[in-house]
Amino acid sequence: MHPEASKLIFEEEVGRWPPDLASARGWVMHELCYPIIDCEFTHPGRTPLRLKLSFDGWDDQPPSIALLSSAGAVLPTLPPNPTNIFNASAHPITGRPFICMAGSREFHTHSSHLGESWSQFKGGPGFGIGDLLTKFWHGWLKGAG
Amino acid sequence: MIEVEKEGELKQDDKHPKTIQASVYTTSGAFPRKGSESVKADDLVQKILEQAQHALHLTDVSGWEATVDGKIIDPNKTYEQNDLTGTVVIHWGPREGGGG
Repeated sequence: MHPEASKLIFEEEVGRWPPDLASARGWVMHELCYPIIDCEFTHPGRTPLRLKLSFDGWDDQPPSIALLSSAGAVLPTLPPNPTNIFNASAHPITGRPFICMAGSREFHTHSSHLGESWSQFKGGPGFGIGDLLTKFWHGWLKGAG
Repeated sequence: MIEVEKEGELKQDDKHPKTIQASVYTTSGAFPRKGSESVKADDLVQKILEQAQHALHLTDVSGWEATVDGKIIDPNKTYEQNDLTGTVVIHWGPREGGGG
């Protein structure tokens, strides 16, 4: 995917979001500019979780996702009481906890999921940029930490 | 006399069922596009989701879930049954996968 084409797809998808979507969902957008979405999930009574998604090569490849603290530091361990989309073990490539769900680059590059290539999911329902961010948010909302 | 007035008030309430201001947010847009819809408290939530699906041209909403204030609601129940009152923003989108 040519970077300019990737950028166009990214901007078209993100441009459909209601302007106040982030604030209505408690998402703090630290950065929303191709190829980065740096979004912090917040909710009263919860420890916030910040995800830095890199959409380089979208949508030939899914976003790579780093789990960050509110301050932007890479989390060496998962926040308490996550749901099962969050994997606490060290990813073979990044060496860090990761989101283990189709649509996360770390899922598709993990040795346990090499048979589930992104091409099987790409362009399908639930695998757009907003869909993925919503699914990660849903997964976080169901946690308790 | 007081009893009669109370009864009158109840009847008035029956004539004017409780209303809720509802809107649906998705990453494909909001329904209504601006502001909110006035809905009856005893309407099924599913009704406004179907309106949103049509208005926003959402082709496949299977496996989607609706949340309000971070809690999952049941679209097959009414606003009242979901304990929703006042102004309600329904967030609607795909459920997360199972993890691995």
